[in-house]
Amino acid sequence: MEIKANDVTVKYMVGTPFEKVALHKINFTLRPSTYHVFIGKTGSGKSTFIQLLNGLLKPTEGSMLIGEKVVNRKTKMKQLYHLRKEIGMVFQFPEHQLFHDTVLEDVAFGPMNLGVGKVEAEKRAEESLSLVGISPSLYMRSPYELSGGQMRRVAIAGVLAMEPKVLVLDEPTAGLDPVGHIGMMELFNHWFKAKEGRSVILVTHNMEDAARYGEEIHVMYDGERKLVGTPSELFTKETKLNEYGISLPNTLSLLMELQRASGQALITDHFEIDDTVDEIVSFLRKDIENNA
Amino acid sequence: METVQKWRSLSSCNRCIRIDSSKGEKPDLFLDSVSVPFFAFSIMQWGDEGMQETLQGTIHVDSLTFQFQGNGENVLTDISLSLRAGEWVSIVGHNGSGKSTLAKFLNGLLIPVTGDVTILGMNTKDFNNQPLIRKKVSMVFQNPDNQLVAPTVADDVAFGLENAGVPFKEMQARVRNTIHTLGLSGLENSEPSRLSGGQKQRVALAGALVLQPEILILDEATSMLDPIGKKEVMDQVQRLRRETELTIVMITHDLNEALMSDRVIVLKEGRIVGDGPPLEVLSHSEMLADTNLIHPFIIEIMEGLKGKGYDLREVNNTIITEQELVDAIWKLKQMM
Repeated sequence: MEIKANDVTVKYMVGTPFEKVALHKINFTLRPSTYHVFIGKTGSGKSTFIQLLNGLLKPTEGSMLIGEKVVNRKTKMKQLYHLRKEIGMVFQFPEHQLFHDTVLEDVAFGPMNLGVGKVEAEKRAEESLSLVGISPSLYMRSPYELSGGQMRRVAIAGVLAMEPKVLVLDEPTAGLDPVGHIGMMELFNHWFKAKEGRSVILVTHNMEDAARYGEEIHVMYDGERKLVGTPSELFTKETKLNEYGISLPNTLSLLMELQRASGQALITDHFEIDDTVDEIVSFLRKDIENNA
Repeated sequence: METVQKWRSLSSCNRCIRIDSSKGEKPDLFLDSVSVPFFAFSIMQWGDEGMQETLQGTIHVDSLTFQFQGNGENVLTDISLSLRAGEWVSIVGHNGSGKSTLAKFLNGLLIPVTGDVTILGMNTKDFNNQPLIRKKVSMVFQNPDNQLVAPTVADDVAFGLENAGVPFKEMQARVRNTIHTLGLSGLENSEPSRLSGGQKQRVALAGALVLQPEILILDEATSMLDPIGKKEVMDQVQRLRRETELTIVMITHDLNEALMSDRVIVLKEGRIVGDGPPLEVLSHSEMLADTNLIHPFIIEIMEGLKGKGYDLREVNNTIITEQELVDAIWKLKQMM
């Protein structure tokens, strides 16, 4: 599903002394079937941008094209209802949104709300719950009896059960322990790859995740999209990134420091720990060869 | 249940705690729902001046076991530990391991039913101690937006002092000094809501430090910040460690941060399973895997290199920063 911003400006509290421009005439297209990552300092406009995607917010000026649907200042909220079927949103601490008596009912609520029959909705709920790793023995439990990590998985299953084409993730792993964090990021990646035509839009402060999962990384700064590129295109622009308040993934940062200290060129377009270790090993070995 | 709700509502806003402490009133938070054996206090005679002196800045936890009412499962089981004055301690563990619950015992927000917690020589079970404990222990929480209340940075930092009835001149000076040391000069009249995450959290930190506590508890205080905000806050914590006698307890999921502290305590299902110097504890692969944790980045790289036959610990066995790691690799290369 293609998403396009045409001269979109978003202002908060228009006409008051507190007026604030959150997005300033942004113009870009998000390619379909792509894992997009948005990075930028707090207040750079990333969160405002994703709220435009399913009609939580309308442009003050300009228009958004989301699939076939045009959204501008005049669009009625009611017409945006259908967007929510296609764009699934997972915010920080999604477990706060659980409300039903049982896990299964909670997850089935979304599809039923979109007009899917009860039997079909529960079937979808079971599929999503199994995808997020919640075992059938928990289906009839109250969501509130679960641990924090399980609650979050149930909430995410609720979004997936609506079978969105685009999954929008705003810091979805906040507060999880390191292993929980990895598990959840892998889950989203698995969902992304499981079917043609799916997209992810991830908003994160975690540069390691951006480098690992992102196919296209967008840098927001001061209400504008300043840079875009693949991880290796983007993270080599160190000076620019500094200017926009973005730090490097720690693997790359280490190699860049080593490059500076040694004056030797290193290969810096891989971001995994193993690649970094290999690069340091080849750096160490190169010296032996040179000396010999 | 009532108790749980009470501390939950309190814990979401450290301002509430400051109001409690600063009014100098006797807090009646738990009197109605926790039965407290007062004999514990009479056995330990901490009133002696010399004793007070040696226990400055310390927390002692003795055989603490805790469960939320009606649940039946222990959140904390048989926790005993002793924190030294001026020490910077990280508490790590999986989600639900009891870290945050333990933190709430360390500042007297929760009162033991089984076991004892003694803060600066004062047993938390004695409610007469509560006002002083609240004055001496400050806490900064995860979400900066829940902790800032005043229209400007300076007002916000002054809030606790104002409640404590500190004279205006002295208050002004202390607020100015604290704002300055936290690198917030120039932002005195800014609206907290317009600051960056790192700045907001430093304002929260300033509000805690201006009360001149002896113990500072940081409950995942950097987890919602961007990398630059995290660094701003961690730089301040490192400065406090260097320049003051403050005892710092840091609850965190970020093992790179834990690596910088003096001591790491690992919790698993409410029990202490590891306690020691960060480099040792955070190199322990099996224990980390067992508690949903991973190696800090620096150690991950060193372990990877060791697996390939390059042991950087032979060059330097106290590497904890990126700079030290780079220096060691460079030195190893030059030695070859």
